[in-house]
Amino acid sequence: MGLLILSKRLLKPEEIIGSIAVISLKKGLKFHLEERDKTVKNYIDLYLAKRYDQNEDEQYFYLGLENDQIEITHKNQLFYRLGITDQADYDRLMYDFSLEYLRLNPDHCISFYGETFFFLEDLEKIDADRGYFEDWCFTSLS
Amino acid sequence: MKWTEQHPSSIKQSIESSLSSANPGKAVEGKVGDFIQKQDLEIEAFGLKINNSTTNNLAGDIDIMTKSHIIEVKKSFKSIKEGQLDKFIDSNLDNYLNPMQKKPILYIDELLTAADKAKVLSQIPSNVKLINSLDELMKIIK
Repeated sequence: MGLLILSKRLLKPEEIIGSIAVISLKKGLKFHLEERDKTVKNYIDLYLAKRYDQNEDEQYFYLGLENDQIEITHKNQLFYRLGITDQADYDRLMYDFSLEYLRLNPDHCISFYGETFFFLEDLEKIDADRGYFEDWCFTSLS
Repeated sequence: MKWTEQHPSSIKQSIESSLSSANPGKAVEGKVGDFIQKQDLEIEAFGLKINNSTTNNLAGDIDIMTKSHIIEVKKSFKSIKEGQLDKFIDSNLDNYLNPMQKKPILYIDELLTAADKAKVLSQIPSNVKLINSLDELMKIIK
């Protein structure tokens, strides 16, 4: 659980799979679509992972892209929750993913637990100032 | 699946570390783990990562496992990923994580409204028990 992809308009999961494949290619992520029961149509599950250090475990998350999108409000702005991960334990992977995702989808927003919110300008600023740092995603900016 | 047995002292240490984590999701896991420990109940696994030995991908993690229950801990209803509980229920899944068939619980820390509760219940398998307070959790797992 943890990383939320938020969009100001309703989108179908198929509309952003392409950009996630591009991110994987650019950042060297392992990426695949999880096999699923054909009767389940509410979400698509993607697996993304990267081993940053050969002496450490692979960093990973499962990203569910949803058809039935719940509404989340931030600063009186309504967003639809287009995607959600199973956890937010690997903040380096989350950083690489979020920055590239927002560059490809600049009108979207990345949130963690619906508590911290990052828009493209926030992440570009972090990237220009110091780049990735531990627990970046739990430091409120917006 | 490749399971690693966790030593009790390592579980205790992981709980302490989670309690002070900047990651709000981890901190809630720590809070629940700490509460269970203080009731003198044994925790068999805490934040345990399970590897799929066939695909070599991480299949997922177990937040908390006791002798009788397997507990998925969520900070809020916003961070529930549809289908995430299936890994404890559906033995046909590649990432099935409940071979000992323990009773699954979804613990949500943030207080739910009746409407939120109904929405959550519609998204989780019927044999997963939804719990929304530590007192309620204690009554179930004791």
